[in-house]
Amino acid sequence: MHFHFQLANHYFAGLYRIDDIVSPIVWGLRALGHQVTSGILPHLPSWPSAVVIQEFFDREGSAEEVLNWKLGPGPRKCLGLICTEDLNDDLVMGDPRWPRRRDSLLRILPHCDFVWTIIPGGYELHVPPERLAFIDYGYVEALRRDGLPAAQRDIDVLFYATINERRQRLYDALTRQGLRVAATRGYLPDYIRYNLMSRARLVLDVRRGDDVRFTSPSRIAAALQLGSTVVSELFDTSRLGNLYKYTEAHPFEAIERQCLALAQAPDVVERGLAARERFRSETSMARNMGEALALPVFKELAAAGAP
Amino acid sequence: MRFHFLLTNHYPFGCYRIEDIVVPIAAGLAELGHTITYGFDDDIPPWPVVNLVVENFNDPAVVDEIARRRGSDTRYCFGLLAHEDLDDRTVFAHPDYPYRRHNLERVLPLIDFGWSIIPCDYGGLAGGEKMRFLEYGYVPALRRDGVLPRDIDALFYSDLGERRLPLFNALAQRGLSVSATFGVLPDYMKLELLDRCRVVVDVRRRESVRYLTPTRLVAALHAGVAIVSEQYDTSPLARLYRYVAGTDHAQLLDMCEAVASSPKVRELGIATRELFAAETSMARNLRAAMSGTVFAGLAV
Repeated sequence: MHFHFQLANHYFAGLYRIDDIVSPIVWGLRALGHQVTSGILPHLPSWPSAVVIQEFFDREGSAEEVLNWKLGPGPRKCLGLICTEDLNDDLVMGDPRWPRRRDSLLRILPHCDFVWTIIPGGYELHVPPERLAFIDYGYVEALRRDGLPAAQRDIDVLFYATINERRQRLYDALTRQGLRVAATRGYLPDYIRYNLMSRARLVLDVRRGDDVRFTSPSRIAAALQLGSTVVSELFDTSRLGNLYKYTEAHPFEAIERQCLALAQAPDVVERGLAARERFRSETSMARNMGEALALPVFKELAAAGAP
Repeated sequence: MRFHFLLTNHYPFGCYRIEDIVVPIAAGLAELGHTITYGFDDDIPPWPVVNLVVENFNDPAVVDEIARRRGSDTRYCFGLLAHEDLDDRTVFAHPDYPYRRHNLERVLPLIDFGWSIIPCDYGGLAGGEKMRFLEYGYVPALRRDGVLPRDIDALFYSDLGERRLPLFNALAQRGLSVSATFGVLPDYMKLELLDRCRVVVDVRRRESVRYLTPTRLVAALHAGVAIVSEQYDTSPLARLYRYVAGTDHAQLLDMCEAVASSPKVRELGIATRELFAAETSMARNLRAAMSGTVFAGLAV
């Protein structure tokens, strides 16, 4: 099949933030032999190609553009949506910077041929089961990278995230302990991000707020792909909590102490490499995407002779 | 040695725009066995680490900081990476960046060495004698062997603008599949476009531009993609024309169409890349650029 990822609604700053979400899905599909393209230009392919959009419709008119394309005259279209946020998370869906986000999403959902969600964020209330699939993140060979040897790791703890007030407190506490701390800041391009990760003894995965219910599977998977030793804040009781198997997971209060101990552990780098091997042998992004393709629309696309 | 790219003045989105400038240099230095790091703000390690700053100092903060560190008791090493034509008024007299030229002139006396990827003349500026021309060459680490179907006929590996947009539209009108990187796409999209295209179209943004863009050609060459270039540069950079199908502006459309429609276009791109790999070396060029006294001191 041919999947075209239309990412114009993230242009341009958002494109940098969604790499870790989109790339494993793209390469999981490619590993299954599907053709995947992506772009920001307005011309979109019709059925039997599938157009995939990652949710974020805040710009005025962006939801209308999608609906006009999907429902307008001309040949049949196939629309898929990747949903990455908890519908009940007011930090995101109620953020005053994005006043149209939730309403636009709820307007588009009924018109999607399929919806892929990466967190269990309440979508089953808005999408019938025959059009909804959950995507677990798994290992994908195309995104495997290698960090530096242990002796060359000059960063003790790397925050793989933007630094807000909650994370800043921890950042400062770790620095006071004498650890060398850095952050990817959320916007850095690959060449800098991978450089920082490859130099880090620990990669830190901490939620942005106490009210956040779900961990960030894309962050954990990105760090595991690089063989990083991940220290996760332990809080998620959903199926996403399965990813804690591959991290050093502790409650927020214990993170500082654990980072201090782990950063000095002689086998800190080996732990991450071992976790990646477990992640590789126990999970597969291609297999997970195969399960997400079990929805009826994909049988219809295949029967239509999708390229 | 450790080379530390201090990129405060490009954070956040400028870091994407300078990627094709920085990455071949970083990869070439790594090939020579040097350590590469990146940092921001006050992450400025002292001698014998080499702090490399990339020009564009309309905001004077980084230049001010270099001056402050120069006045401190701790020794630092600073190198400048320059990437624009000093005489290009669309860059250095741009009304949106009124202090760019002034702060470049301020930083030149403060640096230990400088590399310019454009062979323009710094001789008339105080400290300009420290600038050396750095040519791009092949780096094995950047080689890409794309496996995606080549479904884009012509890719503008650049933003569009008033000079390129008519070509973009004319190629589309001829029935070619055309796309662009717009200058700001992240790697996962930019590299995918490169891997999917049959031809990279290389056109200068204005008639007045004197120098070709080596970073664009080198990115396409590492991906093994055939290039159609507007040929106008007579400087040492013109050596890169050996690896492109060059023509004048009036013939670009026909040349693009002919190359993109050739059944041998993929083989052409790969063969050209192999020629580039055999004849050039980023590591060799960097070794030659590190022949000054400052590097002798650093090596000790």
